[in-house]
Amino acid sequence: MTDQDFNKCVDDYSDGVYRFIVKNIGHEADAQDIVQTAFEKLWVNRKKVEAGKEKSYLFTVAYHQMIDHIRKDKKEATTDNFEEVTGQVHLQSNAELKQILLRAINELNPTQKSLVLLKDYEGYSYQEIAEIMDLSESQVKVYLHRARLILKGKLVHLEKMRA
Amino acid sequence: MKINIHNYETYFLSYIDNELSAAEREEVAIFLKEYPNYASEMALLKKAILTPEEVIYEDKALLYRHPAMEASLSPSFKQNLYRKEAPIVKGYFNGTRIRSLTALAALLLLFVGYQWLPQNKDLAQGITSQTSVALNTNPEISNTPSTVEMAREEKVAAAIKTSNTNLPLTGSLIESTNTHSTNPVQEKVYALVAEDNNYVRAEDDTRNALASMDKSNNIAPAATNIDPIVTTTSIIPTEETKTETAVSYEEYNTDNTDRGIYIANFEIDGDKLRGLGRRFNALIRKNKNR
Repeated sequence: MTDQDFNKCVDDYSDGVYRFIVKNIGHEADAQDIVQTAFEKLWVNRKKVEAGKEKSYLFTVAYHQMIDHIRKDKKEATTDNFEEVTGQVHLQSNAELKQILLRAINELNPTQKSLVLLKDYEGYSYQEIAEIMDLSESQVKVYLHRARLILKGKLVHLEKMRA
Repeated sequence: MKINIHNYETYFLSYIDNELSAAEREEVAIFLKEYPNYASEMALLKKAILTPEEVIYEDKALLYRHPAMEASLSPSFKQNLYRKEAPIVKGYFNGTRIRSLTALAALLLLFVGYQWLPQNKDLAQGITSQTSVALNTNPEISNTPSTVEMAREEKVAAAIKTSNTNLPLTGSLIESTNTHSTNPVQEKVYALVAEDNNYVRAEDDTRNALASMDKSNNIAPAATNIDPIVTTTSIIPTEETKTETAVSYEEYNTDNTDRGIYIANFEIDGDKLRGLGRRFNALIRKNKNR
């Protein structure tokens, strides 16, 4: 990997990695640090990383960095009381739905959150997510489905509130 | 296994995750047509999918790599930073060899010292015994070994005797010569002691004196009578000889040798050390007073 190839990776993947991290931990500065670390590791291990695997490598490194960060700081993402919020919100538009979903995601555990973000934002397959998160494919499927059902339950609760 | 009312949820979830094959997706579509009441369920799950939002990482400039940055990490640059340990040159007298040679030399020195020390002690004891014998036989100094001092003493004694023997020959009364005869005797003795040039003459005198003593045995009583004079006149020289012998005695005195400190085979003068110690103590006291 040349420096030009690396810079292309920065252009192509830095936004996605940053979004994945910042949506998980909810802290921009920490997310930036994690992204920076991920790209530094990519540069250091540029000879080991196969061509075309740069993105998954970046997400893998960033995910593990994020887990370490969460364990060290025990910093919970800003979790406002979902019940209170949903009680005041009326699902009048997709924007509102999006806000509600983001708040609902913050109630998921870090693994479930990462699974949802990697699936919905990055479009990774179960297999790719399993590689990034160091899980089996079946685990990814089970955990992700569980997270989806939780989110659906939040939406059902909201629909009932509206009714 | 086909989709049914018991496992539809898993199919639905896999459907929205886009993990189903085309055939499976077709099955789901057929199922929804058969059971339209589950369509709301599918719609709700679809709502639970997050739509990607645009998030921009603004600090991309921090991540970019430039050729200039790369140059600082080039192998040629790193080569300048590498450190190599200087090759160790093993000379003939390396550490181990020097140590072994030193140990060998120390052992040899100890062995030689151990072997030499008893001999040295015997030598010192022999010298002291000789001096003690010489001191005991002080009146018969002429029998002692022919050192320069002994020879001088011998000469002095002989000169005294000759002077004593000459006294009766020169005639007159002993008592009358008692006072006068001392001066020439003293002068002769001092002259012999002081002047080394008269050594041969003194020897000749002593020989003549001895010969004359042998010849004139009858004068012996007279000479014996003069013994008190001799004793009186020879007080000063005998004291001198005593002091001389005392000096030589002090040199071989075993008491003084106790002050000497033997380190291996070397002797250090204890008196000098004592003097140094006193000076050192005086210096310390002076500094303390200051």
